[in-house]
Amino acid sequence: MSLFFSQLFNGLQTGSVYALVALGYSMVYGIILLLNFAHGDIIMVGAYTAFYAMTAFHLHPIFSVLLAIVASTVLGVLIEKVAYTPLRQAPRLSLLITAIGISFLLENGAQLLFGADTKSMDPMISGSITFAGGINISYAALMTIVVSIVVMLLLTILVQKTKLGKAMRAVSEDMGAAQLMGISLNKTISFTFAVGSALAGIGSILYLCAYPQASPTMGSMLGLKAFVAAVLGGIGSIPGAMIGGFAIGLLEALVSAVGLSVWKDGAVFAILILVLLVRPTGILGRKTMEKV
Amino acid sequence: MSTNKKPATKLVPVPSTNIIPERDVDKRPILETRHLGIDFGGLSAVSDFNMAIGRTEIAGLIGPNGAGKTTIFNLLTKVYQPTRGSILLDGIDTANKTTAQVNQLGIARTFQNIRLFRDLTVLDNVLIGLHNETKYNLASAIFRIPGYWRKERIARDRATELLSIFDMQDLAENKAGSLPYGAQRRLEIVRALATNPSLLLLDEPAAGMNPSETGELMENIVKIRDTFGIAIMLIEHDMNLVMGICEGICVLNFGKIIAKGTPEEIQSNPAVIEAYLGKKKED
Repeated sequence: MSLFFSQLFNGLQTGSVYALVALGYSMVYGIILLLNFAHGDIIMVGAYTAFYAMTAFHLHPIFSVLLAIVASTVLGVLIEKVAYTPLRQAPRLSLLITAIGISFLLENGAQLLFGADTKSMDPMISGSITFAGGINISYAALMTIVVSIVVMLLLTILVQKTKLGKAMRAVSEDMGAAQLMGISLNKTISFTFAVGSALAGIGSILYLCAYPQASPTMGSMLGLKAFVAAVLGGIGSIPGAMIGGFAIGLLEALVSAVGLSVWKDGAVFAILILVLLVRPTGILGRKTMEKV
Repeated sequence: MSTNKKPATKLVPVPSTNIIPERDVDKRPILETRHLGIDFGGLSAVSDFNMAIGRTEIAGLIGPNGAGKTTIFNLLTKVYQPTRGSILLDGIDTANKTTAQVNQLGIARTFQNIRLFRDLTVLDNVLIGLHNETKYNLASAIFRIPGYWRKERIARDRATELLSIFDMQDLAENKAGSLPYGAQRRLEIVRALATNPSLLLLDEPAAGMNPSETGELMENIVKIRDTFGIAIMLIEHDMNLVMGICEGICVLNFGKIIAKGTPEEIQSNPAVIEAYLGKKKED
């Protein structure tokens, strides 16, 4: 029983990170119908920023965390401005290929700058708490779950209640009509990228709490799994991304718990195939009709 | 190709004076287009479109299907970029403006096929229209400090007030997509009004309405003009509506103006009759 609860919290911990990253995928897809494959690599840049801030410059962890979030946000908006904005009228395939290109650029750029080896650091948060019944949960897991739930609540308020959030939903529903209501497309899209990338930055910190190491390709597998989470929840849907993220995290923990941890990644991608076969719109995705 | 050259095929000369109602005479027109035109590939969809609309005028734009009426709305709102000519909104050239900026300058519109934000509530649809009127910063919104509540309340009150024009305030929390057809059309007008326009473009507002609904709509269009003191330009196929409330009418055929005038002048214009009913066969 105690093993079950430990695994449950492990699953929720990785699930939180997936959910935060999946949110970035889903928000960007919702607004410009782009699968931003560079999104995972933004996490990698966030992780390196935090790593060097703490190890090389010995900054206080709080400052390092803030720096990593700022760096991710700036990078996300920069990518949008430089690579995606000029292609707004281009076919969607061009955008997708550009996103893959940016992903390669970031991964190989990081390899050139920081070296291909994995950089390890001391865990940011150590220790654990033991509950009655022998359930042992690390502080890192607890913090990750709490932080991600708080962030998701703030995001929900942002999207549901503020005028920028309403503008985002309006642009995502009907870009043309939104512009005719005086909503600036460029500002709204940049804002979406900024929020999505900030979430990726927070995700990178939470990832470092779980696995205190950074490598140039760390973002690609994390990004892909978060992408599966977004598809499972229904890409374009914000609550869907949260549900999908936690579901994928729990699935991984479950597969490991029954002793099949080598099949962890396989199980996640089997879910992707299954979702695309059975319910391509995901759990909460809305059916879209082609506009005529 | 000179834009000033009159096409040889023109049947009647375009009156040089614009039809502007008496109360707007001697005031600067809210909208003026000069030799406006757009080509799609080799096809000239609209050419040499000259029109002025008074500040509180209700103007009609009519013509057979495919005449280019909606294209003109798309040009005025910069959804399409004009190939030739200029658009002056209250004397300001909109050449380098984006769609969103043109809306902020004062043009709002509705669509032929309704384009509400269907998954949002009725109230949110109107609040999005009020987007540029509501100013608060992001931090105050997320952390809900008093300034946010005050501005949010003002915006909500305004939205409810606008909805009450059409008696729709009780529908505020419904999803826009769940409203009956006629209510969706009315909500689109409210949403457009929320952007505080000086010129409201209505694209077939009476489409799909029965005669009693159309009668109500006519009263409401006049009421909106009188209450807000704005100009309204509408595309409509329902001639009762057009002849009933428009002060100036512009008839379009194959992208060109074939007649301009008051409803009475238009009804007796031979070129208009020909465009609508065809030419009498001479044998």
